[in-house]
Amino acid sequence: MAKSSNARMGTFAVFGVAVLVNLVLSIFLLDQVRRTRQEVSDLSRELASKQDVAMLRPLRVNEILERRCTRCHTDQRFAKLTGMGRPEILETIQRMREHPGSNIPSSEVREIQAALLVFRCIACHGEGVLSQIVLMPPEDRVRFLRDKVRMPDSGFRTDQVGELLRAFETLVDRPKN
Amino acid sequence: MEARRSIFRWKSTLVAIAIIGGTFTLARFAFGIGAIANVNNAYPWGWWVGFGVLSFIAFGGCGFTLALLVEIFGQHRYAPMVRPAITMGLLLYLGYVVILMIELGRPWMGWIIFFSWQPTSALFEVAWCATLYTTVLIIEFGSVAANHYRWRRSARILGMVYLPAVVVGVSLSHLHQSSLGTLLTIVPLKVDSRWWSEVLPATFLTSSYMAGLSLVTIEHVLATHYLRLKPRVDLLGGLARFQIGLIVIFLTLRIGSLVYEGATDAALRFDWLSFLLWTEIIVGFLVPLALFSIPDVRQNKWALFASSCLLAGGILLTRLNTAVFGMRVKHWESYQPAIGEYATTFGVLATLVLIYGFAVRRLPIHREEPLDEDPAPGIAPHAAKAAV
Ligand code: HEC
Repeated sequence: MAKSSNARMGTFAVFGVAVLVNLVLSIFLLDQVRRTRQEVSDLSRELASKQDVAMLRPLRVNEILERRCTRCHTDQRFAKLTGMGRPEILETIQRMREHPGSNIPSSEVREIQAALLVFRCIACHGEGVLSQIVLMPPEDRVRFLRDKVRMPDSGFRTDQVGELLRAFETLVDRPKN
Repeated sequence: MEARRSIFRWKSTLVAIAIIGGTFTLARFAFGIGAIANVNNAYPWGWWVGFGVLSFIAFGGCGFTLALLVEIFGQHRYAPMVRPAITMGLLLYLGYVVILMIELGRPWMGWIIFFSWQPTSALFEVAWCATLYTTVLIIEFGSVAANHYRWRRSARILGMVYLPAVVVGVSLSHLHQSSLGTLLTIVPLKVDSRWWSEVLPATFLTSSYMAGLSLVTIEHVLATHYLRLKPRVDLLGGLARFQIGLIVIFLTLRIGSLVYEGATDAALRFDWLSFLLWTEIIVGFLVPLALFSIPDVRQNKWALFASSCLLAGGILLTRLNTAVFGMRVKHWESYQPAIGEYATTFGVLATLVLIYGFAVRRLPIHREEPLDEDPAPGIAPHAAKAAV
């Protein structure tokens, strides 16, 4: 075969492949542009509500308690904790840790205590309310908790607002798993 | 002399690979699947299915593709290519059965599919079709052997059923070649978005035509080279024209479904799977497409050989991408094919090549005219090693 024919084949092939690759890339890029335009036009007028933002990072109180506490008994036991303050709750957790096989690491005690304290809140409101409380400006948060704690049957003593505030801080600091 | 020596070494390499594969197979049956394979509950389909089943069947498609072209579309000038195609098809299907049995592990229970009906299962359909089609291939191949050894009676009977068998065989092949795609269509969450698509059955069917034609081309160039026969470059050029059309159809489906399924941003991502995707599309399909479109290439047997190897590689890669590399089940489970999985599949492949080499010298599979002049010795190109 002649050399020039080889060279010609090579040129044709390189040129052809370049054109074809370009074609495929153009199709993909056009599709990207089309999709992006579509998505932009689909954006809702309203920005996310506070509730939407709150749902983004739930405090996962139930998750903490389910992992460590409801293996041996149901959460009905927690009713006993109603009205208890931080020291009594810590004492209970300590007792649970002494049950054989309970496997509750000491590093989580603070967190469990916080979760147990606010557990009462989600019994009425659901987990979403916790994030909403966290998003409030500090003075609003204090006022809100104070109002709730004063309600009859709240399950809290009126002097527990400070404990509750600290519990929220503990839960918010909580590293993601 | 030189050429002879190199063929001899070829043979001992193949024998060695086959023996290693056989050893691993024995180990698999003696100590269980865990001893030689990495497949697990999250990845029950690994290399054995991606390479041994999906790819062997794709390339085994050469038998039905040529039968379709010659006997049904009446392109009788390609008739010289039918016998090699059917022989290779039969061997690849037998190889697939062997690998499947190594994988499943209890060949003596195989009869169960004939009694336990699961008509809604894609796997069941594939098993039945592949079994029936292997029978058809045996009939088609049997008529060659019977004529050659002058078994009059069998030759007459086989001659009578030959055409019906071809028709049945072509229909069965269309069914199970596309059903292999269906198997993956039903697991949309397991196959990466860059390979999963609703048209997988159609792309699997198209790629099996292309795999068949590539394999026939590769085989023709190698066989005529080693057996010192006149290559029919005119026919190979004709097949290349069909390949152009098939690649265009395949790529239209492939690119179209990437766009339709919204996978273009994944395809433009910079990662390992996108690298595989673009290698597949560019090296495996666009380059052969460009090459086949050049008239000079279509008149040059080694250029056709090289283009067909690239296309065959592209088809192999697209199947492996779909069924092995692009499979993601749970992020905490992983799968890498084990040495035993490679050894058994390549062992089977080596055995097939050995059997084919034997058959092609003993049976009238190639009937091209011998070359007039003695070609210069020792020009066997190294590209030959890439052949299946
Ligand atoms: C290893 C099993 C086990 C685990 C884990 C466990 N508990 Fe208990 N819990 C018990 C048993 C047994 C009792 C009854 C005996 C007792 O009061 O110590 C009990 C009783 C209680 C009571 C009632 C106490 C009372 O005075 O009647 C509360 C409240 C309680 N658990 C809370 C928790 C909390 C909160 C956790 C998670 C930090 C937890 N438990 C994890 C086994 C467990």
